[in-house]
Amino acid sequence: MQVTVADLGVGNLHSLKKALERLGARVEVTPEIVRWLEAQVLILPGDGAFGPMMHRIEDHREALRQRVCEKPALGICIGMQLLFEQSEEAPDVAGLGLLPGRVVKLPARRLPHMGWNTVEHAKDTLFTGIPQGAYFYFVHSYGITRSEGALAWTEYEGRLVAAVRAGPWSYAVQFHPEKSGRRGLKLLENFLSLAEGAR
Amino acid sequence: MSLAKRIIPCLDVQDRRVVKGVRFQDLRAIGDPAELATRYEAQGADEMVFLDISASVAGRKTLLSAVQRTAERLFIPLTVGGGISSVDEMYQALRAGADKVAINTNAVSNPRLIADCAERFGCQCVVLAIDAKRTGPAQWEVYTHGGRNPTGLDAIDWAKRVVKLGAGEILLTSMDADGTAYGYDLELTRAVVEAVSVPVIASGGGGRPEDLYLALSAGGAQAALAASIFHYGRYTVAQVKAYLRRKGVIVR
Repeated sequence: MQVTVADLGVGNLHSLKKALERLGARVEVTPEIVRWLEAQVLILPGDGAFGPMMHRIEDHREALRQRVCEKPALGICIGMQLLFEQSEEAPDVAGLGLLPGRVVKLPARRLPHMGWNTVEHAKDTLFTGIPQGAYFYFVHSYGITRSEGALAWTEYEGRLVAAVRAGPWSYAVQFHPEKSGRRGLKLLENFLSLAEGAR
Repeated sequence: MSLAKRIIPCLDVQDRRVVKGVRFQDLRAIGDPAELATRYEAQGADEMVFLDISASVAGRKTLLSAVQRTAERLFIPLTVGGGISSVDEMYQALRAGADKVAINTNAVSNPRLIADCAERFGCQCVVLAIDAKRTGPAQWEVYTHGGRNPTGLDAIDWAKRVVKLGAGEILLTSMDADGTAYGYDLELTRAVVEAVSVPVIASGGGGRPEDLYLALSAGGAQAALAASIFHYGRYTVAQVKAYLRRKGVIVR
């Protein structure tokens, strides 16, 4: 299966690429937004800040929003936050608005929320074979505290959304599956088989 | 349910090999970085740190090729450090497969570097490494260049300052304790943990599981970094974590 990873110019995409290849995918990492829109399976990864990210893609906001909604896509970390309407990190910049709600600064004494935390999830194919309370690796200072599409939650001085459904074949996760050992690989595998079914 | 305390094996790398010294001196070769990192991941390590202790341009090139080889099979976060002095060098480390970059000496000579890197890549990528040496009761001085040069900076003040500049995490090494396996400097650890609002990794002196327990409990650190306890096969990461779990520490 061909998977396109959006290169937003920051952070480490090496591990994500290797993880997907290990699962049998052919991976294209590209900064060209046109390629993202055409992609059969799209991954929006990333570390970084909400404002600069949205600026990079704002000319394609509508197209990208539609793309994520209609065909298999997975947002990771900031790639999840971009799907919402707005973020406290950059209040003047609109998000993709695919999901209702606002990204907020986490109400915790020590930030970033960095490290391995347990995830409770609703029944969904994305979490097939992953036990309740499994550990995933998080690193973020902003996040979602409630969302109608929420599928999974974690707890860091309050409840946080760890995963959402963003379309018939699309998801987004706040943690980094590519950094979360074998559980993370399992989640990516589940996503790829869902995407396979979408064709 | 809560965020787990992290156990982080550290690999000091020189000329393609992992080495370990005592109080920053007397280096001995241990093994291949990629091989050791995968072994520690299998044992349950939460993250890995690679430090190029030569901190030279040639040394970093060698280190980044090791990072690339390692990142192909490592699915936990990897921090890389040693001589990184520009946004561009940080970018190269991230592209090679590092998730975070540790800056030490060059942040002291050019504090602006912290802000520049944080702005470009996000503060979560920027780990500020502080090597601190005790100079009196509740007083520590920052050293650079692998522990060779005193700076006159107070470690607690420096820690607060780098967080303001954008560091997302502090890797705090007690030079007095490093490599001795006599336990972490708990007073230093506690002082920095209380002074800053970012995660703190305690480092230097972890020789027994109890030392890591104390760094994470009495010291209050969010993570404990250790080298010799793991490299010399005294304990596996899994054994240390089992001990911590028995003591009531939340670990993965």
